Amino acid sequence: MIVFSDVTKRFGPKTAVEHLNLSIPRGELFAFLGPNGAGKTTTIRMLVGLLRPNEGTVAICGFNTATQPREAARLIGYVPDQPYLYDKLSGREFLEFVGQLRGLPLPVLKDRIDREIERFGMSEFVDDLTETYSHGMRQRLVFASAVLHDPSVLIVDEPMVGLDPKSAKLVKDLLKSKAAEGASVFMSTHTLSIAEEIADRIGIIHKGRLIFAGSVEELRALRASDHASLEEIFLELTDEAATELSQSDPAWASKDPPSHSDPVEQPHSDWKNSEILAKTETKEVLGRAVEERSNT
Amino acid sequence: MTMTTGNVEGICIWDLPSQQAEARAFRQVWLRMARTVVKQALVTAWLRIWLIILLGGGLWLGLFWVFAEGFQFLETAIPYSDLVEQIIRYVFGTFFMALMVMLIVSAAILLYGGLFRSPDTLFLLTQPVRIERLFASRLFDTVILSSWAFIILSSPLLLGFALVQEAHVLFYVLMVPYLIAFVYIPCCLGALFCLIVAQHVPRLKSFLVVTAIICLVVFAVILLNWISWLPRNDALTVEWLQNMLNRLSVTQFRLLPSWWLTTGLMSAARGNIVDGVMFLVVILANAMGLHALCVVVAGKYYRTVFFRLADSGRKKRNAHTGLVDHLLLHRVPRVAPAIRQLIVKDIRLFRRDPVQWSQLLIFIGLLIFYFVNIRRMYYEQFYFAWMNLISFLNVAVVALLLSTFTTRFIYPLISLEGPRFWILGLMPISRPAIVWSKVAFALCLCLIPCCGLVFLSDLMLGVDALVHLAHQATTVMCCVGLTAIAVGLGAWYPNFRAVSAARIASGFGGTLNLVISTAFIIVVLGLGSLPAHVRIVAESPGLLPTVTARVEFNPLVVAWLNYGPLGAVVFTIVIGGITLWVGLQHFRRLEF
Repeated sequence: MIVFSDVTKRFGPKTAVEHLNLSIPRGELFAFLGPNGAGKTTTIRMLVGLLRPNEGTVAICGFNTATQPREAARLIGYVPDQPYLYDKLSGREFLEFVGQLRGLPLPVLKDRIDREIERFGMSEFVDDLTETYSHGMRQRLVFASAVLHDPSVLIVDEPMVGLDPKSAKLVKDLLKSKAAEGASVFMSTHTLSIAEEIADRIGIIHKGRLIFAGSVEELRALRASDHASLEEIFLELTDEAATELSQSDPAWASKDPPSHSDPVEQPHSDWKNSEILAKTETKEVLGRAVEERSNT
Repeated sequence: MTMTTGNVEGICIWDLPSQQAEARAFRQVWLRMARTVVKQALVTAWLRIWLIILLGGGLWLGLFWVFAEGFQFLETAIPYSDLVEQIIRYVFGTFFMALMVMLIVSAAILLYGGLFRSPDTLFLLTQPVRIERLFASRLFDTVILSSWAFIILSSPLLLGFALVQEAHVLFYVLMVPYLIAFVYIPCCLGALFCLIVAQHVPRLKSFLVVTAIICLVVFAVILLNWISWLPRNDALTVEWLQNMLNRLSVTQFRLLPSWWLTTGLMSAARGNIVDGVMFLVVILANAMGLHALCVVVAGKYYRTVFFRLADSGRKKRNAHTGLVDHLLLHRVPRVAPAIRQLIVKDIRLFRRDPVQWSQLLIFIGLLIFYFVNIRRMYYEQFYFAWMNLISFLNVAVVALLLSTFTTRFIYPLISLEGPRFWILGLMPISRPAIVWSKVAFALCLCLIPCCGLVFLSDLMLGVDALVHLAHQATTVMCCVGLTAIAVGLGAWYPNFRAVSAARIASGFGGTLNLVISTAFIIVVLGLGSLPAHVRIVAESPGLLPTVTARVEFNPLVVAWLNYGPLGAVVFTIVIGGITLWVGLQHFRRLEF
């Protein structure tokens, strides 16, 4: 399982993620939503051990990703938004390398590679050099490498970008089946309909703070009208959160949206952004704001 | 089936591979990639390979000949064998110490990129890989990259020495092991330097870093000046030699790996097996010890340093409008605004990408340093006419430097539009206008530095006005011709898939560009500048010891002397024009 305990990440004077508390139990598919530059990728990079939190801890099945990165990494399957492949290796050679690094014995590795080639329909191109692959082919290979060792935690950053409908269906089925098998699946996405369709729970991060964590039904309950789409609710939430925050601190209004390399400035240090808070105080604040807007 | 249970109940995880299995996996991948690269190069880049073999072989043979002649000169000019050996020891010591310092710096730079900026490293950090293994693989890559260049540079010197000194067979057996073991030491020192710098530099204020770099450069210049400064009257006397050796005595410090290398190889050349092998063992032991130290230090501190660098993030960079941009956009008449915008766009991209201009700046800086110090060599004491020869060679050097620049940066300009080419394609600008804008941009970049460098060289050498004029005209022709060739071939062989200028330049078109550019330079120099030098030597009896009277040439040579420069102009127009025309035609028909 994945546990974020009061995690804060700063880049110099800028705060990209602030007081994040979140846990994703085994067998849950969690969708992580947020506008561009909200802190999704920073969160994921802390999760896979590429960044170290300034405060708090990130743990995978009890292993701290900053202090026990190797132990944590062996449990993770990671599909980044911009995956790296060795251009001068074939897809099969790449899978063999990843399997060897993860300690899969040779006969098991061969079976697993065949299994993933079959599952992702890669037999036609898996022996070609990866430099010749299209985006969809690369994405399929990276997914195959991420699940080769049957990870306990699957972390996926923007999985649907550039995939054709067939591949997208394949990925959705894979994520659901992994969660059904007992893995914790952490998926970052912009595609709200995907989150609505497959996620057990969603979290919305905005300007580094988790402003909502709960089921789609709980999210809908924030709105008086049940006819609003998830997209409308998401936009209102992030809009209202920004308004709330800028009212409590005018400096917020002038902040630029952050990006992976250019994280947002966030002067708030007293904002209690816990999962519990997200479910209670934040919901109340946002619910009030949405209600007021509906009345006007 | 090997499985174990982790700390958390119910989680099944595989045993991670042993150190040996992990090393085997890395080795297998490295060999597979190397094999693929070689196979692809043999199939698709045959022109580049032959060119490398021919040019590299030619350069190697040239160096070998120069070194062998030098050692032969020492043998014949100095009757005392002890003194000859001492001089050779100092030459080797200086050579290898200089290379060692350069290797430390280059290894540190290579490792910084490999350890902290490479996407491959980011991928491996998300895998359960031992940090020590990751570091060792990067260090290995650096050693491989450094050692081939080191061996190519060192081998002509060492083989020249061995041939003249009739070295024992032991020398030839031990030479390559010595060089490979030696190169490991500066690479390890560079690795440690890299980790220290990466750990501390992000925390230092930028002005401190800049001040430190300026101090280092000033120190290096002062040191070089001190070593190379010689009293005018003492040149090539015994006192001068002793003075020079004293100044280089630092290279004979016995704890320096370069001293071990020199002493060991010279012992091997004499057939002294004990010393020859012992110093190899000393170097090997130090290399292995340093390797172990590096791996331990990296295992302990690498992630901390990596996190520290990742935390520092990237600074926001404001896109300032430069004076040049303003002048080009608003003060250049008779050029369509869209073309002006295109030129300014290219200038901005060039200015904001230090990779593009830093290499050029380093070369120009080195040439300026050389030109400014050219008078220290006192050629006029021996043959004044050598001045003409050196000034001519300096023009050739500037032209060759320009050809590498146009191949590396101007040729890929059109290809680099790549995925953004549709923006230009949909704009109301004709395709030829795009090509012409690249020519104008390239000329803006090349003309001033090249003409300035040649002028500086000629000024320092005090050449005739005629030579000044011929050199400036030749330089302008080279700028125009090489630019036209690079842009024309760039439009002829665009590669819109590649994102790296280096990769584009190393393809077939880039290699062809380099070959045509080199041939072009030879012809233009031969027609444009050489007649002026020949004329001066021929019309000034006594300038060369072998030319004691006014020389009378046959009509063909006279025609070359009179009409050569005009021929150079015509040749530039024809070659540049044809290449550009072909490129334009191809570019006009291009679909994207």
